[in-house]
Amino acid sequence: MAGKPEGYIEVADRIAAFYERYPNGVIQTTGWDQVEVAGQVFIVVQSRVYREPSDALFGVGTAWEQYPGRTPFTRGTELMNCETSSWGRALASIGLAGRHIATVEDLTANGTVKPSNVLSPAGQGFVSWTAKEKVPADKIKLALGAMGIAFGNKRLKTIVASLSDEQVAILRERLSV
Amino acid sequence: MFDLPKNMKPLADGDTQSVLPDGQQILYRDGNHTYRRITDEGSTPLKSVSSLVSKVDGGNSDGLVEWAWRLGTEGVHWKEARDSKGNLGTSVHAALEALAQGAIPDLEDFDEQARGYITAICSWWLDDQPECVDQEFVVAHPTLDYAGRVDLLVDIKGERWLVDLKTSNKISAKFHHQMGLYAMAMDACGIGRPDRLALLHALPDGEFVFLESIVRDEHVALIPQCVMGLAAHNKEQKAVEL
Repeated sequence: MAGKPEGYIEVADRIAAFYERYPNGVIQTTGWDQVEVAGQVFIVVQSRVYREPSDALFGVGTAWEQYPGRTPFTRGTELMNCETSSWGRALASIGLAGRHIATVEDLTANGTVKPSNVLSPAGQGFVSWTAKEKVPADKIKLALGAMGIAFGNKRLKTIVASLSDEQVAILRERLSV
Repeated sequence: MFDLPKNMKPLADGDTQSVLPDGQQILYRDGNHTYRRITDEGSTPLKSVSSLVSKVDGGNSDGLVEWAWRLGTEGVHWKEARDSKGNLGTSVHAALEALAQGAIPDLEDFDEQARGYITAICSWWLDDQPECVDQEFVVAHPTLDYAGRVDLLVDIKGERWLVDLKTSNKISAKFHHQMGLYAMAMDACGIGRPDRLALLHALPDGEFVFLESIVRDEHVALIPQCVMGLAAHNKEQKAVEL
């Protein structure tokens, strides 16, 4: 995927690989909390990964996410993003990772990955939907224009990545009519 | 049923020369928005639709004076405000023209001031999915001697609509009269009468109102004669005063 560091494996791919390798395995979110560090609020999520129900050496992952999210991609979905990050880290702790343990969201936050290349789950869903439904590019541009969004020479994915989940939902609704 | 103007020859400076289905040849001068009918004997001026309705509906200039005075109190010269509004109208019309030709206007290409209006017309185009039949063409009434330029003729859900774009703050009665005069001229010069008439009122916040004009011939048929009668009366009056 463009914008990801070499060797990085998406969390979704890690989950798929985990269940393939451990059909009886379980990924569990064990809890979440809200903490304040240096005047900033963070959501903290902890997860466990069991290779089988009786796995005594389960993998553990902890992640935090600033609240409210700092970008349009994370705002409103802080807890969900954080949970995904913690699963990614728990999977990495049992060896299911690329060369990097950080999730793509972590990398986005610290500037390793440019946010313009990252789609939220809603954005990903939208892009897949337009491809599946063969929505003409001009119609998408028209709907963007109708929402007051300039598109320039940018690729659809880049434009969608810059939208909030709410905007993506409105765009899809307008195109569905 | 519809026979659109043929040989609309583009001339220099945005001027055009059109041959209407009934054989009238109309020269449109873009610089001063004037129309002339060309015949073998020469050419005769025609009243423009907008000047006709302004004479009837906007004859009272108090409103304009008040508008200019109010701008003055805000430190804005009325000429600047008028030109800026004119440029805005031109930009938004250009965006509608692009849509009618199958292109999607990109907000990036327009001034900040025009973007809301363009958002509005994109929104209308997306919602109503009009199919463009023709745009920016000249119509002229063969006997009432007036002419105008139509913004858009489109098909929406099987009906033919004549659409005029407005970016003004308010919709006044004269805009509806304008639509009636266009429709009457289209019928009289052989183009054919559209099924329905509408004003597309684009607003600066990206919203639009698609307002149907239900004006009929009998509402507007007397406007050209009234204006001509008024002009003749004024001329006579001046002659008496001299």
